[in-house]
Amino acid sequence: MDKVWSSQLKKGLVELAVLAALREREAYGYQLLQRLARNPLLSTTESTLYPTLARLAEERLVAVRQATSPNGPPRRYYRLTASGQEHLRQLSEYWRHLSSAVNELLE
Amino acid sequence: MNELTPQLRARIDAHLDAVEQQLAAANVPREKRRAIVDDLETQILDMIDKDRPASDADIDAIFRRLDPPEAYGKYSSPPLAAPNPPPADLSEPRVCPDARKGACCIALAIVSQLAGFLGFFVAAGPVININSAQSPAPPNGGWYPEPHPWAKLFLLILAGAAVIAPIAGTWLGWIAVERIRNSAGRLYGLGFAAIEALLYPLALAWIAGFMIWYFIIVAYYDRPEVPNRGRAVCYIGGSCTSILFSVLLIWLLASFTRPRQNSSTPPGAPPLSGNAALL
Repeated sequence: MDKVWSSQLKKGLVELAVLAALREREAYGYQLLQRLARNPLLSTTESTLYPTLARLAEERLVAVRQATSPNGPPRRYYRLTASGQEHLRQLSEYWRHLSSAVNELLE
Repeated sequence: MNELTPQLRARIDAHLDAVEQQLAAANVPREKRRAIVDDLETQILDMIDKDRPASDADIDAIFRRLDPPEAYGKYSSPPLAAPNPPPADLSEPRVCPDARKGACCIALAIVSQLAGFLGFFVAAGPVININSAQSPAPPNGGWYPEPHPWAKLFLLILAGAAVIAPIAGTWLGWIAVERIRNSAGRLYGLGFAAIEALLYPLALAWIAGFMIWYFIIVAYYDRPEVPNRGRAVCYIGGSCTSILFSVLLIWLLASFTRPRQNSSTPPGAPPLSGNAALL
């Protein structure tokens, strides 16, 4: 039950985590998965991440470029667009409001 | 690069096909399906050990670490997504500030136009009196008295306000309508804003509608005095044209201020997205 609850909560935050992970530099899907997995609390699965990336690309919050890979098909590198950066700023602001409101309740 | 045997390649392709089928069943558009599957393929190939030839056991181990294809079935494209996350604007619903400013401009426009109109007659009063039969002839061989310089300055300011305020009020009205319609209920005052946005454009449209027909009729009869039938045509044509212009203006306002896709949040809030679709 606990696991389901935390999983649901985390999934709601995937978008924020992905945008934040792309803030510094571009990454391809698997690289991003590994980048997020460095913190177990943010670790997500590919069936959640890749659809999220596809949606963010469709909404032009991230731009995609293809680059050759030594292992096979070209890799799709994702980077934040200007509107993606603005969206990240707004989401971060909202997250801070939300977390402080929840913290206030918990204290 | 580690070459895969055709059998292993076929197994990977089968897995990718299964994922794509799940996405297709969830109504995910083809382009997005390809993007997701391409990312997954890159991951699988990256996970394969490059130092030695891959085996069935390696592929099995990789598949065990991956989500099963069925996990992609829960994904739905944004149109089918669940409701969006709450807006970031945590403030109470309030009147749109632009609508308030626009209302001030429109009020200023009306007052300045009325005052200018009245002021003109006050300033030009002596002229009117002089022209009337009861008044004496203008002094100094026919020159009418000049209005006081302060009165001229006042009229000039009123004239400026009477021209600029309606433009500003209309502009703010359009902005306000757009913001209110995109605010998901956080801003109100849509009726006010719509009146601001349309009051002067509609007035101009009606004036233009009748003027067009007046000139058409005068040109048709080739004299300024037109018979009753011509007047009736002028009224009917002017009314129809004005109504047409009005409908066009309202349609333009509705189109230009249409809520943006994925943006039922107010200005300043994160654009809505299908994050909840993943839940």
